Amino acid sequence: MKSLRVRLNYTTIIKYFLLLVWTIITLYPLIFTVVSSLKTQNDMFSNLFGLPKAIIFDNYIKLFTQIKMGRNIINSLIVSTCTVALQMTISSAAAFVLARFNFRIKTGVRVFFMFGLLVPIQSVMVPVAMIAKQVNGYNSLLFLTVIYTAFQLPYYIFILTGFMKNIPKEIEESAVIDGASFHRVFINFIVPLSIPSIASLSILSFFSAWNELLLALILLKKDTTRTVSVALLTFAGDMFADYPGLCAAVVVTVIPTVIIYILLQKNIVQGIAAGAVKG
Amino acid sequence: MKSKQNFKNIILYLLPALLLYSIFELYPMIQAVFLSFYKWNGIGGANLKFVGFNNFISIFQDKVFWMSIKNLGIFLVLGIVSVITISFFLAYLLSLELKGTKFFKVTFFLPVVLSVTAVSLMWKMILDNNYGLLNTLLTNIGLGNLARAWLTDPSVCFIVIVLINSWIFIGYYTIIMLAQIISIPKEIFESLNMDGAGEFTTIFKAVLPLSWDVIGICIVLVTANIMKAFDLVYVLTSGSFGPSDINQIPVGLIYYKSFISDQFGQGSALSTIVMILGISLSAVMYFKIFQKADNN
Repeated sequence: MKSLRVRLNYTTIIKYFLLLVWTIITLYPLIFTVVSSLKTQNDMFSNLFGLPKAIIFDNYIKLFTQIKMGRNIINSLIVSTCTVALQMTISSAAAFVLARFNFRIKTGVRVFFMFGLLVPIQSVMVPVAMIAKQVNGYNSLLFLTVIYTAFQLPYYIFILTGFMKNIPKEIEESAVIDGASFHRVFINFIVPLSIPSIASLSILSFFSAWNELLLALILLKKDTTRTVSVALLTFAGDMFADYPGLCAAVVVTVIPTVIIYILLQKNIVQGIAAGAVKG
Repeated sequence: MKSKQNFKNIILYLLPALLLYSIFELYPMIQAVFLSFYKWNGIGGANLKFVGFNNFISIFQDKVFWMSIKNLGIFLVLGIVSVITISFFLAYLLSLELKGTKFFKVTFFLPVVLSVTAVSLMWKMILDNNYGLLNTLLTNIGLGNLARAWLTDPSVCFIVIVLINSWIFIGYYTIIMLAQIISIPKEIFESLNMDGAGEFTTIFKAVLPLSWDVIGICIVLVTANIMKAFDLVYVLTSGSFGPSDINQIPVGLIYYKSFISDQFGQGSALSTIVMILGISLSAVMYFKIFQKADNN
């Protein structure tokens, strides 16, 4: 309930102060980085705190022309969108049967998947690299997509199953009475009703794939196939003295996620809060 | 629906997930355990030599291993305490629905969606010894003696790393706890108010105990997050894990053994150890926390 009268007693002021302190701690480093990316190196080192003496976009231009970061962005985009598409299709199908049907091996299957939630990806990097060697998966965006999907499966199946369980039985029953087949029930009834959940999970899946570092680092060895995270690391090594340049690279890396976040944050936040509190 | 007819479809719908998971996640897990007992020098098909528990013995005798365990301990304790207390506190403030709460919510959660690699790089620049924002700021306001090499000075570097991790993820747990606090029935606050309870009393006697379940879930999630934290430490230490291994962590050591020093057998043994550690920690926390919640 919002209080209609804003009582300005000192406790309220203190509360705002604390919230503002954390806001500054959160936002200032980010804003500083954006502002710095618009400066020349001289400007940055002589004028660390101020606004740019002259706003220049050279750092960004350099990223796309000289360093060809555009290619890395496209790679990340391909991997992330394909991972989301593959992930949501496979998980929702699996979640559908785990949530709406009873069959003998159901519990076993659920536990089978849950096991994957506990395992850190670093524990399996070597075997995965071995598989990559055998199927020629190095430098393959497709292989990376498949790996990302496989590793995220337990988490998304877990959440989607929980969500789909809450859909009322009557909807399914009336669909069957109307003659809907197994597949129809899924495609025309359960999926549309699960859209809110699928939407927020899609966003999370996209972010996971976009931000992932380790597997991309191990599997993508050629400059042309690298994703954004790995490219960023390479720049950090190559242009280590060029702080404004690095700031620009950082900004370019996070801008897609920030845009998606600002537009869709309600979905994201809902998805997480619901999953954790119910789950 | 007749289950017999549907069984074929059920399997059809489960199959892609089962296949993908079994081949690319489960099978590697089993292989990792299997490889722990062999000495092996490279993916290039070099010889596999059975060595029993030797890899494990080497790991346990490795000073760097114990360094990484010590760091993991610091990471867990400091990480959990900082994240849970600050998140809870912020969640409470947000639950009051003061004006501008929506802005605060969106802002606090922002670091969570950003690439950890990018954020780590950002902090690396800010904490730079000579040109970084922090040291320059300290010098300018006269606290120059506090300025130090934040990421390489042994007395503070790992703590700094832990705090950056907390900075990134606090927003995530704040949102989770906020959902919980909001769900507390208004009547409880009203009756406490009528009994003359002050704000601190309300927080500690009502909000906190009622949120214990969710706090428990958050502790487990933070632990999982910390066990897997690789990107952050890797980038902040430029891939070296600190001057002379002082910032090494178990998963970082797995990476080092497997891909830098070509000791795959040891890398796998360590992976097995980490897997067991992760599972037991989760189990212990799960039972301790949820027993306490039941008692509440």
